[in-house]
Amino acid sequence: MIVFVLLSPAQGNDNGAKYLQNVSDKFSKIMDYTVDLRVHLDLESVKAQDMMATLYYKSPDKVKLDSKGTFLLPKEVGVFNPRMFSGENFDVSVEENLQYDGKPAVKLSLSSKKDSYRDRRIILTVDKSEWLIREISTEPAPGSIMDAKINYGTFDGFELPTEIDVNINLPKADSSQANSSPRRRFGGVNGNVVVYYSNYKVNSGLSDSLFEKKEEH
Amino acid sequence: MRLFALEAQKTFRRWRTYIGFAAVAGAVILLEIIIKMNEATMAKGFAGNLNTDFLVSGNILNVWTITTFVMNSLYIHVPFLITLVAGDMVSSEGMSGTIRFLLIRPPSRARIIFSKYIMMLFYTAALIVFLAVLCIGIGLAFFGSGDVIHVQPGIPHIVILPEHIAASRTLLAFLAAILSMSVVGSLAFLFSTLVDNSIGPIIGSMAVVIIFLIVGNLPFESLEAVRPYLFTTYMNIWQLFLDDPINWGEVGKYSLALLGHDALFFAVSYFVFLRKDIKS
Repeated sequence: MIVFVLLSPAQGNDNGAKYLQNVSDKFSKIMDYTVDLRVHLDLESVKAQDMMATLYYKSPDKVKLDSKGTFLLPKEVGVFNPRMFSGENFDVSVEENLQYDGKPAVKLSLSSKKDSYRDRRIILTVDKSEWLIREISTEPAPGSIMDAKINYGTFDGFELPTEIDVNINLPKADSSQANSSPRRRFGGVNGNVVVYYSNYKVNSGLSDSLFEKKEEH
Repeated sequence: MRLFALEAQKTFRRWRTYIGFAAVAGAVILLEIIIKMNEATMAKGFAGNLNTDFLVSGNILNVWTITTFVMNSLYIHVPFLITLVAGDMVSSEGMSGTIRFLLIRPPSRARIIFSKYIMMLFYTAALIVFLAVLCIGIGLAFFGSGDVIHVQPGIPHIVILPEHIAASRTLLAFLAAILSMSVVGSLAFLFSTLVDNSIGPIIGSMAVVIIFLIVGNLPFESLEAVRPYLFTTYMNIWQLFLDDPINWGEVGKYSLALLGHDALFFAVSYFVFLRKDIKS
């Protein structure tokens, strides 16, 4: 019994890493993709009409956003990068096994190994029958939550997101953080962001030079 | 029309009339050069906390965003430039001794005061149009076009208007700014009818604007009842045109309040001028 108790967390961690690897493997054949995005913002502190952009992704982590007008996309959850949750960047542990839409799923807890400026913790709900990430819950800063639910469709034989529904609750920085937090000026960001994905082109051979231009701010 | 032309001639012959234009030109050119030199920092500042939690793309620092920034920076200071001329419209006649010659000639006092008031409104409009032309001209050359990103106090903090309505909204904002500034001009004009020197009306009207702004911005609940009666409460009417959608009810309310003050100040000026004693 004692042996079991001592061993089970390590086993859980191994399983977590294995589950994460399965997700990563599922998308290992995606070398690049291009997709049209439409973002619908329903935020308390930001008022904007729907925004359009084209997103370019090249494995492992090259991303470019091309928009005519201003475009906002939630970090971490808006850009679908199947390899971003790799074991290299995160310590993984299994939180619980559950049923998600009637299918076996697992909740994984990821702790960032690298990012020091954010006390980041990520919870992934992974559909074990298809190895798809169904939900992402991040904690961009202490007391903040960004929850995303992902719907998938099949494009060129790959299952890729068609809609990511992000629930954001990023409270205003308190007075102790006021001088260092960028949230000091505008208060919190609360509400809902829905990102719609369409017109996928997978493995079209995007050139590295496409990603070289400095992103406009 | 002849009286108005005469007033225009008198106004634009005075060097102080050009102080406002020079100050606006200096301020706008300096601001836009400084913004251009610190473009990256400014862009991050405009995107604010959005940069922390969102990937932001697009031309954030563009002519329309910079123009609203300049308007935000200057709408407290431009009134001073308005009072320089508006506070001089009638009082300068008394100071230079021309008031008697003016009032013994055929045009009625009513026509004279009306033409002077129209001239004050024309100067106010000209100054704001000059501000608009400079902001948009220099801004287009320096920063190009894009969506309006309007940062304001309150909720929502950031309003993003698409590029295709940016020009029309900015134009409406400038028209509203003319209405807003006309109230300050009307107040200075009223003070100008009361005395025979220009310093008093200029300083007096600026003092009123400053006191009203301070009282209006103090965060005390007891002052809530007072705020609707301060014309400065409605001076940011131009910001209503940068909301999405435009709250026409508020625009109507603000416009009525500002036009009401214009009418009140002009009516008192008219009354005072009609009864002005030129014999002593």
